[in-house]
Amino acid sequence: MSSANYSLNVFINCPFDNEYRPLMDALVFSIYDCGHKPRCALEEHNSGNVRVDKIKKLILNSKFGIHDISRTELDSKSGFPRFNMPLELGVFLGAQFFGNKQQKNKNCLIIDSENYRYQSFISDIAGQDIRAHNSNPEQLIKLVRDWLHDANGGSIIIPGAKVMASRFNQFKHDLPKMCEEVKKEVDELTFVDRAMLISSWLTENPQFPTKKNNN
Amino acid sequence: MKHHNKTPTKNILNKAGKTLSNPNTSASKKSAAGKILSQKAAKIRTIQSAPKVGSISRSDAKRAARVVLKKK
Repeated sequence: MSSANYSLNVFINCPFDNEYRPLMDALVFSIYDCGHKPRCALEEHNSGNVRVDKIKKLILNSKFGIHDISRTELDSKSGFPRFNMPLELGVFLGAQFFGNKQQKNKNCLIIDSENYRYQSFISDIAGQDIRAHNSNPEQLIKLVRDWLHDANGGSIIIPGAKVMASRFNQFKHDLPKMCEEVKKEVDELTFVDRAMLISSWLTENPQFPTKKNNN
Repeated sequence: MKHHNKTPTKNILNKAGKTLSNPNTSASKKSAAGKILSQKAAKIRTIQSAPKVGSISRSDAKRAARVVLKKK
């Protein structure tokens, strides 16, 4: 059985390396600013849980999914391609095709660093709508914002893409000072810590007069 | 004094949705249903809270946000 927050949850399937961090922050920020909840395998550190089981549970509980396949490239040490992200995308699409009525309502955004790059390694997804972020956080914010706006049928009022990007830049500027206040270094923040600071910053600076969720 | 239309109830919105998707409904009834659906009020999004499993408590994070936002 899926979670009560199913329609709010957005499963994030993306690289977890330091180089990707500015894009990851932009993803998490835009998901919260659209009134949704980012869900990611990094939110649990319980090594007792098998990783694929954790991922299956997150996918089951998320109506939405963002799949960034930009790191599907050859590993410099092993020489083999890294395929975790296309695998998780496959699990998400499988749940959508073969799942129950609720799972069939799933909606995903597939993104890559460049247009049409995916055709060289995963051409079977050509029927899907795949967008390019060009490794630019502001472009990524616009993709996520517009996608979630359309997915909600325009029934939820959210800030425009330019406003959201400008708020993200303001947040990035404030992050080191927020870290000082909570006695942490920016570099040592975990995914959950960053999510907590982003969500709190947005709650205190909502752009619109808005209802706060204190769950 | 000008009176604003009230937001239609969920039942009325559902009925209008069914009318619109019924291929046997007349054009005039579909038009009326479309007008009802257009009155559906959009809601302002609610910022969702982050999970409590990290090393920063919600109260500390909110306090930190208030401090940096107040300085502006």
